[in-house]
Amino acid sequence: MSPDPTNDDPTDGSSESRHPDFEVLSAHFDGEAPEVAAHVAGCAECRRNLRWLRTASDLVATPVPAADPSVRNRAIAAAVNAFENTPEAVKDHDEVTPRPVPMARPARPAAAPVPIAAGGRTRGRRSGGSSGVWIGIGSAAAVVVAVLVGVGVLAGGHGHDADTTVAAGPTQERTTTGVAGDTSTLAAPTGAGGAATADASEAAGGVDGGDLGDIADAAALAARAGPVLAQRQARVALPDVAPTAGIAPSPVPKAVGTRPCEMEARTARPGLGTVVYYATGRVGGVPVVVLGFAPAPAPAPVILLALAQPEACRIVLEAAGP
Amino acid sequence: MVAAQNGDRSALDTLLGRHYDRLYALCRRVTGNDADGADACQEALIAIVRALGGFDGRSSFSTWSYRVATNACLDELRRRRRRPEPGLPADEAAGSGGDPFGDVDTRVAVDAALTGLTPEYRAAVVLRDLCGLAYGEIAEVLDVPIGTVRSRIARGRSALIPFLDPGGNPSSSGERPTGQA
Repeated sequence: MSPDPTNDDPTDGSSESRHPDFEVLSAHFDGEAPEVAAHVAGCAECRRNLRWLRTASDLVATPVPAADPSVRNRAIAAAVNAFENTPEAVKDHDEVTPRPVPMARPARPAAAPVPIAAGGRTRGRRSGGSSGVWIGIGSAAAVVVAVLVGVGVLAGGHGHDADTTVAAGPTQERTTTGVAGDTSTLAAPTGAGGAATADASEAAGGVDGGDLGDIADAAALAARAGPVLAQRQARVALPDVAPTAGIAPSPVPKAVGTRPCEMEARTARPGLGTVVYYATGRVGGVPVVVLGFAPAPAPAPVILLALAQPEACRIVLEAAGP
Repeated sequence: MVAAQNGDRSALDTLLGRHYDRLYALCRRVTGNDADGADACQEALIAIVRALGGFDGRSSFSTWSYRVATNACLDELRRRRRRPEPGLPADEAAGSGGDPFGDVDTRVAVDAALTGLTPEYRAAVVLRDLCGLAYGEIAEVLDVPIGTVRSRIARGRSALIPFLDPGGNPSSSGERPTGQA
């Protein structure tokens, strides 16, 4: 049937007015053209056309599946970092509302690329050339810092030398302050080996506690993570002492990204602070990642979270560390 | 909102988390596939936080953020025109492992139908039918007169009809409506 926008011959003869054209009928369907309601109510053809409109509208309104949680978390973290990294942008109150002309694409901040090891899909366009340069610079800086301060992390003392991690390139959740990609905090001379070790290891995503095995409950979590964290707390609290005896120096520094499940933990619990501890284990047979966060400087207690990695990093245990 | 504007990380995180799903839905439907939708949504969030200090509340945050997100989508589509186009949305082509929403055919049909529209018409239809905005709000989001909104929505829906049967599925059969725009 060919379109006939000027049709004035209602098929059922029940209306005295002309058919509204498709645009008006579409507006009527949306409640934006009440003037044709009387005609449509008595016109079989218009009602039939309304059914087509309903079908088209319903198709477009088909619910959109939610984004993958890791995609969601990355996007939010990138935006939060963009906010922190460009204070001048958010202080500009001159522009009342962004214009709908093609948006000036924000200069991609160093923090915007996805974390290296955050899991989920990593799209090529998100890790462009500039971020690759930053990663290279950051990794190189980390190596230099590690050599200069002669630090190691505690993992060596727990039989996990191969997994020992030291400073990394810039990732968005590495620290809660400062510009991602800026490794100056790592390079800052501390004059205290112990403090420098803590700084470096925490900048790298925390001290590695290894595999904690089966963790029955929050108390067990606190007990198993406690010794390593206590060493850390003592080291940070006594910055003038030498690095803890018996702690093997780090092997070749390995750049790491954000810890697994870190983004999800930060999303679930805002304000967690820096990652100071990392371990793995099992809760009820489910593999978990254990992350220790320091919301405040030591000796404030560390928050320990066990996150079930196969279950979208759901928090299954929470305990307070030393 | 004020806390977020003042740089409170937690408040900002909460604000973005609260609005992410609806902005992603808009971006996903306008761009036509998961990956571009996610990209556009992330760009939208970044643009929102960069402009948040200038948001004065004259329009609702929802409308304002839809506006930013729509622009991000149109940008994403412009970029996509400059790179090779896949035959099918990658997410659908690879998706034999089970669709949690159970209706891949419908999703493909929506994307295929909307792909035939120009981005501006697509945005108008999606803002109306998926996001539920009134014509006045859509006019504000797209910065066009209400009459233009009405026309774009009608023409957009009209262009979708050849993809439909009365059950909402792709079909070339059945009597078409009269008087299409």
